[in-house]
Amino acid sequence: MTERDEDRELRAAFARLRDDEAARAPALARLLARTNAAARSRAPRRARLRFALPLAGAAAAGFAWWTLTGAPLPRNAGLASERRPQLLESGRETGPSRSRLRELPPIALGSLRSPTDALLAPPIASLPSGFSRSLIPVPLAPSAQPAGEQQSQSSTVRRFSA
Amino acid sequence: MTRAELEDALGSVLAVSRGWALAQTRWNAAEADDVLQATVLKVLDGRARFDGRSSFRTFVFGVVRQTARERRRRDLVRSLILLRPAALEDAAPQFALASSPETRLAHSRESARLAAALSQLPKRQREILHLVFYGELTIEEAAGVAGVALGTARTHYARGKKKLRELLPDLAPEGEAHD
Repeated sequence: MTERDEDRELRAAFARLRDDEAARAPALARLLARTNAAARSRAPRRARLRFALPLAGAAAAGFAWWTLTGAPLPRNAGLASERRPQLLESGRETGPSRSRLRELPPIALGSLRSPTDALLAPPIASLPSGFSRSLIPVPLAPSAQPAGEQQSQSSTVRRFSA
Repeated sequence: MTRAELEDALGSVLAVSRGWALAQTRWNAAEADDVLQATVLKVLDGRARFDGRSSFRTFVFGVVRQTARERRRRDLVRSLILLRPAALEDAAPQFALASSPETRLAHSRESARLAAALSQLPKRQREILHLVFYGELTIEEAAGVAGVALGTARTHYARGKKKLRELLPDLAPEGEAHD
């Protein structure tokens, strides 16, 4: 069989294949009117995304809030702040809240050893004149120290000097 | 070309272009129709512009091939994103194995054998043979559509023909096909 005959056979076989396929070829108008299968497959996906996207957006926003502010989400803020130590402007940590302090038993002034102890002291109604709870560190009694050192020494100093 | 002229020209090459789309989608009829539809829309919208440098058939074949490539690339990216197995280019031939019983019955037995044999050829050889024998292009035009040099196209043509003859040694002559 020559190459020309082989080519003729191949052309004939391809022509039969073409005729088979031509019967199923859509007309141009039908092709333009049909809905693309990709668009058909996108429809249920869009419906799923309609629900999934808001959820994913809310989760992303929450994560961004948590990452950027370092704070818990508003709904849990109250619970977490009770466990978390708060910082004063000076950088020191506060102790229990004032309401908690009111429940503590009264502490004698003589047992105060540090400025923090002074903060922990319950409100005393009958402070001697010249004393104020706003003074930190707590000043010593005027009679116990020389006049020049009164404002600079704390009760801790008094303990060691005594 | 006006839109009416474009529609006439497209209508005349639609059937043979569908065959080329089938070859590009490994005989997946639904995908081929999608590719063909996208091609027609590209030509009518002006996204693919015919400038007369080649025959209209060659131009449409080129658009079909480009559209099929874009779809394959998009499907691959989607499969990577969604972690789904992609349909690889050189996967098992779909015509003989994956086509529906109705499709297999609709084809004549010889056509099915030819399509199955074509699916076993390397991609370039399959493309060149399809363009020359099915699309009735010259080897030079087929080289332009497939995007290869003329000499390369001739090599693929010769090798593909030889391999096809090996796969189909008893290819029926023209007169005995439908008896």
